[in-house]
Amino acid sequence: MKSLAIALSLPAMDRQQFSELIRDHHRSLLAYARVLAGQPERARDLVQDAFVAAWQAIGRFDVTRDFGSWLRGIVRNKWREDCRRHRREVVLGDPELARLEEAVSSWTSDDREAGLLERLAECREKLPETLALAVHAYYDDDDRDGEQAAASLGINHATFRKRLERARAALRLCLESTICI
Amino acid sequence: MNTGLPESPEDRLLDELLREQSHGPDEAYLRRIEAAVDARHLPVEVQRPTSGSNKWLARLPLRPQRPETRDQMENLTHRQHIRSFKILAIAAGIALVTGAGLWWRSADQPADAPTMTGTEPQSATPTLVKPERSKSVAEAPRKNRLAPPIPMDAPNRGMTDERMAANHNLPEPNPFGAMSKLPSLPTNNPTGGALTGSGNGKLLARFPGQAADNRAEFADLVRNPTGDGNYGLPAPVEIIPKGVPKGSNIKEHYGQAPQMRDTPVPPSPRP
Repeated sequence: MKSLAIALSLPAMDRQQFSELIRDHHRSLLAYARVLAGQPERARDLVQDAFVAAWQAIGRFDVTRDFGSWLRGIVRNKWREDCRRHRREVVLGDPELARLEEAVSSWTSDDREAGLLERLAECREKLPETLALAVHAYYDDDDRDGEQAAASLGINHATFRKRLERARAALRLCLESTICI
Repeated sequence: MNTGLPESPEDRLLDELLREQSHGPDEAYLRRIEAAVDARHLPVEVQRPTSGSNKWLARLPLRPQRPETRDQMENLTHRQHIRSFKILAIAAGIALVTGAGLWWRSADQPADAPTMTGTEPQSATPTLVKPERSKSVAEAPRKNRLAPPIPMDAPNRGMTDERMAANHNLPEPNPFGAMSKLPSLPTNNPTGGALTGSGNGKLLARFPGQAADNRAEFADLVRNPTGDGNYGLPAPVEIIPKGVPKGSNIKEHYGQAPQMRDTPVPPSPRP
């Protein structure tokens, strides 16, 4: 993985190398933060704070660990701080967080150059056409909700929801199976 | 509408990953992250001082927000250093002036110990010259209104040592002369314990091998040059209440010392 190779060059990392790490990780980290925070703006602030904290503590980074996993740990800490500061309910407990981290770790591979989103794009290409259309109708258009997506496909809502569930399961299987290959 | 949003965290993460994939990279958000990291660019290149006397620097606002203004931050720290040096220089100057003033004031004060000078240039007989007493001490006995002022033509006013000695029947006009003849003075030392002239009108008081009682006697003389038991301090002033004629004894006037009343005095009837 290119970002990990950059991270392994620590502590001689300069600002330019850290920018490449930001560019590689910020999108998957945003998705992870949205699962935790539930709100897009809060998630963006969490990720920004996590990158700032990572840059400040870049000298303490253990090069034997995954850089993405280290960043997710920082995001979790920032999220807990945010919940305490604003007295928000922590919707995810430690067991759920552990399962989430395990899933992300299983979806990412250090011996591959592609990142999580790139591998997800590869898995989407392998989906059957009906499932790929459902995913495209629901996720690729922000202004379209489930009913409109179902209407655009000419199917009822229940069928559309079933296709989405099947598509997610196939994608998870694809991501996990890629590690086994 | 219930779109069958996933309940498990893994499915929710996959859902968010699919949304993020459809969005594409957000360059504005990337620039925002870069700017935030640049604002905290100091840990690697410019360490913020957090220890010692420069802790106040760590409380400075985190600037600059952009890398092009980073030099301004370095200039700011440089200016702060210059300011701290100025403060230290001013404090050192104030301390120096204060110390010099105190030293100068202490040097101007007259010595309490008497200086011994010879009455004659080659005389071995010393004369104890009392230090010039301060005005308050010299005039303190006059504050006792009971004591009559000494007239200017009084025979004992401005007495010399010889006349004073004659009036008091002293064996010698100078107490040091009498002290020099004390039997406790060592005899094997030609100058031991004696006050000898230095040849230029001044005497050197030396006590090599001198007994401690001689030193104590000399110290007592130094402390109490007047010999009145007050050690150079003004005599206690007796406060005379109203109605007592000057020069009379209070106890003789009242029969006993006035006491405080225990019961309040009834008001006098108005005319």
